[in-house]
Amino acid sequence: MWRSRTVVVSAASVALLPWMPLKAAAQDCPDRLEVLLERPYADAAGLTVGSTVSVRPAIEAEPCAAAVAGIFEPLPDPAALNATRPRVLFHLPHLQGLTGRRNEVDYFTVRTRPGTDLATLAADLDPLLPGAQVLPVSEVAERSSTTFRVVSRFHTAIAAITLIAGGVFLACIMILKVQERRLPVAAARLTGIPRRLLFWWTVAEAALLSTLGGAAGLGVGIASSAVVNAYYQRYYDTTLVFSQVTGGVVAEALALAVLLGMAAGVFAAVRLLASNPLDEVGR
Amino acid sequence: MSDIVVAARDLTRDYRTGGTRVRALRGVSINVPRGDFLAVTGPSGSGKSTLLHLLGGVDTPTSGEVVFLGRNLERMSVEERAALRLEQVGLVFQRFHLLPMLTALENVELPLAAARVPRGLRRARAAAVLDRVALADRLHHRPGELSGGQCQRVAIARALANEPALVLADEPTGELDRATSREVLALFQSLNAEGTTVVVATHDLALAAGAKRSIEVVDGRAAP
Repeated sequence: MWRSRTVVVSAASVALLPWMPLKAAAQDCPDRLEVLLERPYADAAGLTVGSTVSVRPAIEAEPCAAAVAGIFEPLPDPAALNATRPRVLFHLPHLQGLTGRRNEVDYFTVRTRPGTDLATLAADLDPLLPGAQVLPVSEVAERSSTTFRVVSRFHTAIAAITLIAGGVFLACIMILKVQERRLPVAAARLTGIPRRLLFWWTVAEAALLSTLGGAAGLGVGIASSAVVNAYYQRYYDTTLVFSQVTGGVVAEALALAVLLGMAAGVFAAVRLLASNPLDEVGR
Repeated sequence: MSDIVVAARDLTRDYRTGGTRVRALRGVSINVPRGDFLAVTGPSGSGKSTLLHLLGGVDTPTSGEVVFLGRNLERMSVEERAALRLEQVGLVFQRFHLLPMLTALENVELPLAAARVPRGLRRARAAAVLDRVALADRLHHRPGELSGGQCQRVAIARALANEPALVLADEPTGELDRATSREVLALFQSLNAEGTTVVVATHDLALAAGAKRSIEVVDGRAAP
């Protein structure tokens, strides 16, 4: 089974030329050479299982005939989105035979059972493989995602600016709202309604308003996310998820909305209740 | 229980406006017995509203004392006076001052909620009071959907919600036309006939004439 093998070897150094006419092999081509092709490339090139392609380790080398033994769906990888060369999987002995390089691999991936502590496993394996570096996948992704980190920082900055602007806007709305209620609230205070009740009422109203705004924003975010994913998944022919509104994002957004609302509410309530109600209503 | 709801003795009240001290009341004494309907008349700036505010514990006198149901308001804290106003004093303002985002029913429920009356009971009581001021068919209307007269009746219902010992109304017909003013007067008379003690500060001679008795305040002094 190709996909269940625990060792996967990069074929970055092997050129795949499916349209090139085969010549007689002048080098040692492995017997019954087989390859796996990634599905988008196979689709684009019109190749299916059983097709024959020619492969060679370098542009000046003689090609070897290889049978397409299978088509695989590539794992979503943002770093490979704009890759111009197809990814091909070989049996390790075939690859070694083709390249003439023995016992050399760029990397291999160990698939673990769900729930395995990758950091601990990496730490345990590292001393067993001298000359190699064992890393959890997340760290490999982190190291190869400099561009995405920059983009992510931009997103964080945009989010911070949006939150600040939203908070200021909310505070303005609340001040306008309490301005409308200055007289009735002063009258309510004169009738004996406790200040703290009016204070918490204003704060609760602002928090509710902000939470509803946050929920509406999440709705727009989820819908936009779906549109973005649909568009780019189709554009890049990938199952990669480009935009995701996770449970954590929802919780964080709602928590921030409540906090911002409460802050704006406290600000508005303090202004509302600072004056002498008799001065508001008139002596 | 005392037959005097509120008694004011030798009240004076000074204000500072800018750098000037203004004496709004000068030694006013007055007793309001239970079941009274008293009209306080006088020109603008004569001190009528100030007297009402002092009688209701909304404001404190510069000198003199106010005794409300046997309790000296001077000796009460701000919170105690607020609690007393909530439960024993109903205030009606010239411009109604209803909360615009609440319905008539919710506006009347507000003082009941502040007095921690359970939700079901306060809803029923608010509806009953609105029925008493002939607004049973306007329970769920907001102030913006009501006429001036209806708003003032909601405000009166709000003042009555906690069944106060005293209703203080400051120019309650000041924003209303003559016909609506007559309706408000009739409502106060009806409430008074049912036992509610009412004190009204007014310019409206018709309203003053409809009260059981009246006093005139001129330049901070009261004359019977």
